[in-house]
Amino acid sequence: MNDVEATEVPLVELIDRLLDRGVVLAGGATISVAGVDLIELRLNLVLASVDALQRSLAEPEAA
Amino acid sequence: MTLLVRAVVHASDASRLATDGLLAVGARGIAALASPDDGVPVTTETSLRVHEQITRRIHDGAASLPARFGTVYETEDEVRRLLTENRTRLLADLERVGGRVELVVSMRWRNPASEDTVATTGRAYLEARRVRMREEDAAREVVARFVAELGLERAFIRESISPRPGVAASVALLIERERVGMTRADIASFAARESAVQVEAYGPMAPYSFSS
Repeated sequence: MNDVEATEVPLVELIDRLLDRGVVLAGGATISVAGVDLIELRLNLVLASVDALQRSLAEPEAA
Repeated sequence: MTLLVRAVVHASDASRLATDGLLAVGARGIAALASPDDGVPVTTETSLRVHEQITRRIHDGAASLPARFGTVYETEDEVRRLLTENRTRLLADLERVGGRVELVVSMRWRNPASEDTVATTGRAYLEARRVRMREEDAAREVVARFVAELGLERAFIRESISPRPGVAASVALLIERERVGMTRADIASFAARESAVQVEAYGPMAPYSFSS
């Protein structure tokens, strides 16, 4: 990325990656959307957007 | 004070990368780079783009794992404890990602078959479902052609089929920094020959889709 010009990622793709992917350290995290503290988590957690959660429920992992 | 985690890096790189107000919190050879804050972050386009820019800058300097936005910890001790507990996984991910970067490839249908509407009858629902499933199959075929043409290892590709109405697929490519230009050219070549979808490439960015 130093010598390659980055093109701006569209917001919808950015939301998908920044809120649904990326490394997560399990533990106590507070998640906020639009300034409202939605939930304070004290257990191991996996954060997901509603869309991702619906997809995971609709497509359970193969055994 | 709270800590908004931006990325995880090798501890040996942390102090060099902890600029522009970032704080390095290290434990057993691994470190988190975090922004000290007074509470929890507000999720806006600006805050997301700032987070993306910070993680991109960090990844420009060394191998890193960008953090999911919005992860806040109350103390440095808590971050150290979690780094220690997750050390093996984080080091393995850092090794796998290395200096590679993520390219975002969006494939939009030129003529979407399915519509983002609510079926009002059972028959309409079944018909819409059939159309949607057929479109998903077609999207998988497009992605398969794309992957075969680019010749990348499967482990370096993540795809999301039909993530949104009108979108066939969103594909993440993990590629060597030096290959970004060449890969963009390959994508443009594929796009020029693909009639069913409009293909656009964005980035590169830090490897969000390859950091667990």
